[in-house]
Amino acid sequence: MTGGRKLIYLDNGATSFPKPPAVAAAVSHFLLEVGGSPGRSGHRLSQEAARVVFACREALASLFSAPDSRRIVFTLNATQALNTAIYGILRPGDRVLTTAMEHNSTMRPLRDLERRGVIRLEVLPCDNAGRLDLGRLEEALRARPRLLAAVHASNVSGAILPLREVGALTRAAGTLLLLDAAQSAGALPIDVEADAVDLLAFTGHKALFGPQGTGGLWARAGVEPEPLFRGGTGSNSELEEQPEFWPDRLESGTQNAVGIAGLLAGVSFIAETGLATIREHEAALTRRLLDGLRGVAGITLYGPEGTRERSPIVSANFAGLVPSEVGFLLEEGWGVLTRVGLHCAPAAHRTLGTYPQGTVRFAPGFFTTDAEIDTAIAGCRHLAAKKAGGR
Amino acid sequence: MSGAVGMFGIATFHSTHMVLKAEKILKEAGLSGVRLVPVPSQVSSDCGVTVRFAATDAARAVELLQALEDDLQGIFVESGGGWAPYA
Repeated sequence: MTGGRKLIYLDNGATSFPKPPAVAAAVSHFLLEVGGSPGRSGHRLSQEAARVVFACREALASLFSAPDSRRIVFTLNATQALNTAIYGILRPGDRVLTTAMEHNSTMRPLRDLERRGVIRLEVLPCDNAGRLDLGRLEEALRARPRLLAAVHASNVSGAILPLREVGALTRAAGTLLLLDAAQSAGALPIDVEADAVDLLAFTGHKALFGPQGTGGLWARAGVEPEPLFRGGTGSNSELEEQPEFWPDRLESGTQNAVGIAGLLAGVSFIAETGLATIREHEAALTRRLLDGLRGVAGITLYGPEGTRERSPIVSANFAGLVPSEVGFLLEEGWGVLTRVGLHCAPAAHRTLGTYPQGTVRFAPGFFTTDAEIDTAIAGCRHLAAKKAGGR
Repeated sequence: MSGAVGMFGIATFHSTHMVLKAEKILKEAGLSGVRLVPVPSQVSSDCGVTVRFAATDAARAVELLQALEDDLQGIFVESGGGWAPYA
């Protein structure tokens, strides 16, 4: 609440909030009743913790149609998953493709490897809505690069990658596809088999409704990233070398079982509600917001026209106001919480033409209501009109 | 080798994940006495758990766990106060 006003949370692109009540209940239950260390000791509380982690792996495998839940490893977030994939897979001399819409969690590791002369990197152009040029991708794949790292849904424009087509192209070229599903896991359908994904990096705290500090990486059989960290796994304890087998090879140290308990509740909520239902509701909210802001003098919208090619993200700019001012005024006047600035994706902003000022980003979530969207629209229109009228 | 009544068999795996997978498979197949127990020190130096079942079901367990053989370390049955590989 701010000054008695209810807050309107439109920052689900950063972290989903609120979570389904079952998520908080699962975290609380774990802390109060379970509490053991997963996969370490043999006693029942350790077993209970291990069961939670196991069940979450199985639930995620089912969500992504992954054939073998062993090959899902937990990480802190999508950033750690992407770093594990990039540093764990790429070798000296590899040619690598990425897109002009990537988040820094992909771009920075790739630029680091490029700067150190390890890889040759090509950044594929996208149009001013953030859509990848498939013709250019096909052309670039002729050189048989080792890997394409691509974001499934842009955190800035919401643009959705045509995953099925891209997966078919990379598979045919023998190029590995690393999909950054930070925004899309839980929000858009992902079928790692049908979509021909080779490495899937996801976070738990956005559309999967889990707590912060959860996420993971899935890799197809035969795609074996070297671990970023080595340490205790509760297995092969007689050996001083890291085990090769999954999931232990990439899960050193005590896992975030309490967070994973919450993530399991979030993934279960998606299974019970139905991903299609969630997608439909979020698309309707996004459409409502786009319709309410489109054509308003002084407001520029970015990203694809409709919601078919757009995840629940709307980026905008207001004539005569910088994004930080808009964010501040929307919160002060209407209790609307947005994210402003560059959203950790400078490449994407250059593509959209919003570098360096960035955008104001509205990201509705499953628990957002039509009335909340209407309040946000009213606030935006008020700010645009006031500025146009001269303050 | 067939275990006496009240004796147990165990299947050990590299990872806790696979122990739980095995437990799920054995439970779903209706084997009796399936539960997780600490790995006997005679069998493995690992600090985790293993899945236990009635020794009389050892042959079924071998069959059911075939699919997990990549990760299966061994199947053992109680013998003379210790554990002997089941063959």
